[in-house]
Amino acid sequence: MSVCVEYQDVSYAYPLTKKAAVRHLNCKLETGKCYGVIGPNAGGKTTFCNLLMGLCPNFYGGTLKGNVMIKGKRMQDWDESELAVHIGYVFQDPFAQVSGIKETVFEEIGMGLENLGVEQEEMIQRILNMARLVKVDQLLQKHPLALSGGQCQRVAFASVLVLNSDIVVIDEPTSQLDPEGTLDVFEIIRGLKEMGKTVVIAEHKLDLLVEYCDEIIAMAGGEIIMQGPARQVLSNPVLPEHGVQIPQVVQLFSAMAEAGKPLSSIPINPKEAVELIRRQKEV
Amino acid sequence: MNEAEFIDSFRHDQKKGHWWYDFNPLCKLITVLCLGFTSMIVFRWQVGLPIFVLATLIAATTPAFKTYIKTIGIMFALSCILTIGVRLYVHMGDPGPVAFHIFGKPVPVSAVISCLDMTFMIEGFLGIFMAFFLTTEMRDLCCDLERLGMSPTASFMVLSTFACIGSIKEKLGTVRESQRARGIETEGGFAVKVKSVLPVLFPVIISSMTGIEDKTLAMNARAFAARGKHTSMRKIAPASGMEKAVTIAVFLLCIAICVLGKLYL
Amino acid sequence: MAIEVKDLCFSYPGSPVTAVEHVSFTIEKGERVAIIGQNGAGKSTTVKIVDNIYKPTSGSVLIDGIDTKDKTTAQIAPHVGYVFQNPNDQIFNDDVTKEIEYVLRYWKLPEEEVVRRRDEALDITGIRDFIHTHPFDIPLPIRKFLTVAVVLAVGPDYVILDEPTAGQDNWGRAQLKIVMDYLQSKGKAIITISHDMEFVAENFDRVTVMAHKNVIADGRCRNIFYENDILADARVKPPVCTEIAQSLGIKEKILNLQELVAAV
Repeated sequence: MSVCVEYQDVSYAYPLTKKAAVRHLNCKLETGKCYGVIGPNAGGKTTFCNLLMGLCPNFYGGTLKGNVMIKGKRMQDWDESELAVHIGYVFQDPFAQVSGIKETVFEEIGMGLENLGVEQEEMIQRILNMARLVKVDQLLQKHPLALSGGQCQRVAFASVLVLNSDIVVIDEPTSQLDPEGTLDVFEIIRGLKEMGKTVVIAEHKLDLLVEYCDEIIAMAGGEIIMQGPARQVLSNPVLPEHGVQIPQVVQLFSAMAEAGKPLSSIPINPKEAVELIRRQKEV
Repeated sequence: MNEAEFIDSFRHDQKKGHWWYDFNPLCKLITVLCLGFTSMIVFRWQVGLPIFVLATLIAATTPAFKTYIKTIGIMFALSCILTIGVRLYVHMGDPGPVAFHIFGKPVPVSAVISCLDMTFMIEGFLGIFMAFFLTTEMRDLCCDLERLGMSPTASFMVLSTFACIGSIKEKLGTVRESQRARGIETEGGFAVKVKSVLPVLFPVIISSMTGIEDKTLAMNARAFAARGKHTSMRKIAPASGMEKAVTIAVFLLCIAICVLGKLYL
Repeated sequence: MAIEVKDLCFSYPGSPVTAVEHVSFTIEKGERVAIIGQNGAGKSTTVKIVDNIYKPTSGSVLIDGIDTKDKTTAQIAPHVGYVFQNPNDQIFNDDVTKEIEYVLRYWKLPEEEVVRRRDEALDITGIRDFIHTHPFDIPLPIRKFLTVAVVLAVGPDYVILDEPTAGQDNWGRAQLKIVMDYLQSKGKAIITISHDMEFVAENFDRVTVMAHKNVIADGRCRNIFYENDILADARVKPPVCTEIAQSLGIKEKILNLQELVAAV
């Protein structure tokens, strides 16, 4: 697998602050993989994402040390307008991402394409395909602000993904959604993975992250404390010490071990847990 | 409208099926600006009244007539009260021939005329602009301007400013809901309402501003900064020869009226 | 002393569809109740009517025996406190202390009482470190605690928390526990709307399930989470440990990790 993003000893401080938001980040993201960024609030998750989107320092200012390499090219060397075509991002508040100037979902999704000067017929086809993919094809004629939070978040996804960027950064996309809206968002993420996109998600809902992500990057206090496969990272006792919240299924592993009934491996979903407990009982 | 029809509607120029609505927005704007400012520059009822009548006639053919009449009616009442107060009652200078008496005070003819001038200048100006704003979508105007070379950024700013006014209103509604929930009386007479709104007005506007950061980022993600050609999903018919001709004719006519009006009225 | 909701119906002004239909329940002072259910089931609308932000179309809400019908929202506020889901809807001062003190000063409480209540609220919510930060510069999850502090300072007998765990990390959850324990120690009722079933199972002994604009079940947490038909109807998943225990065919009703580990 090729590396498409690399953080080379990146430290960054927002303007007017003395304390660095992140320190000495070193990590590589491979093409086509899904990464979950976890950690307590103010642990650096959002800054990690902002660095990848080029918002730090392009938008926020502040001081950056080290290099963020996107597809082998330094972030600073990218043309800002070109970057949007390579990196798409979706964030927390679904309604804040609506342009507010388009009267239908259909036009809202097409806005990015208008900016890129795509011809109308192609634009229509791309919008329709994307709308089907994120399941907003029934909403095309609705006003974007008349949607529910979950629907609106799906429209936000469509509006960004329609540009066909191959890296997608998602910052807490579900914190304002109900379980059904949350599942919809994760289904979209599954679809992205199938399309071979590189996905980076900062999230609190670890039980879902472990199911959908290939790797977990755990952050706390502005540093990456671990990166690796979900099972391996989540079972590390270091995480709870840093205030990272561990899903109950994963906690089951250590709880069972303490009770003298160790499971043979770490479960990451209820189905696995049931299987492992059954096996443990047979022993 | 089913999906196919809806999507097909974008393949054609947007039409409302009413001559004034479908009048090319930029030509319409220029026409309206000419008429409105003529009314203002000449400042005579002989010009203001016809422009006002014209605006009302145009508005009468549109579904927006009710709103037009309501607003213009209020403005008419207000400007009448204002001008009567200022122009008639506290009229200074040479009294000239007396037209009639109000509460025993003589009202000179010149005061009546100046009152009419003022009223119809305002009505002509407002009327024609109302007839424009009630029937023209800002996005169509922006779309037309973009075609002439206005930057999409400028057009986005204009459109979101208009959208922002609506969002502040909505935000104010929720904040008042929360104020009530917290124990601050917002229900009741006018005084109670004003007293409860004032302290939150400024913070509400500020907090609406904080949404702008998110919006800017979201727009960035949609290649807003992309240079090069932009396209538009909605299409507006470019101004036809007829529309251009009407606009130029109105423009020349207005110049003539201004010159003549200033000289002879 | 209780909130009594009787045969409550409501539709939003100008809307032809009803938002809640024939909802009835009673919440005693000192109880901890979680209202669960899908979005659109009528949860937020119901609590907003309880808080007298909306008036019922028919039916009634009695708070400690007083009908809310003839009262303004502001008159109910000292009895029922409501922490909105989105703190941004609630904050309108440009300073943390001003925000907390706002209504206390509006009520013209004596200075020392204002200070006492403010300080207590700051300590219980753990946001003292942020008193010099502009409310909109405080990270969103902590901003929510500012709105909790505002309600604590008012000191109502019934506190409604709308989605308190959304976006919260371990710190936030721990702090939330402190807030709820404090409220319980003062004999107050806590009513929450939540999608987080682990949080509900750990902290609430009574659960009210809403679906189709109505209450479809109401009872002990332990029993409700084993009513699979009701949960499916409300499109709610039980806590993960309950789910595992059921799949394993464990007889006892399991709600949390400790119980599960002990049972297998």
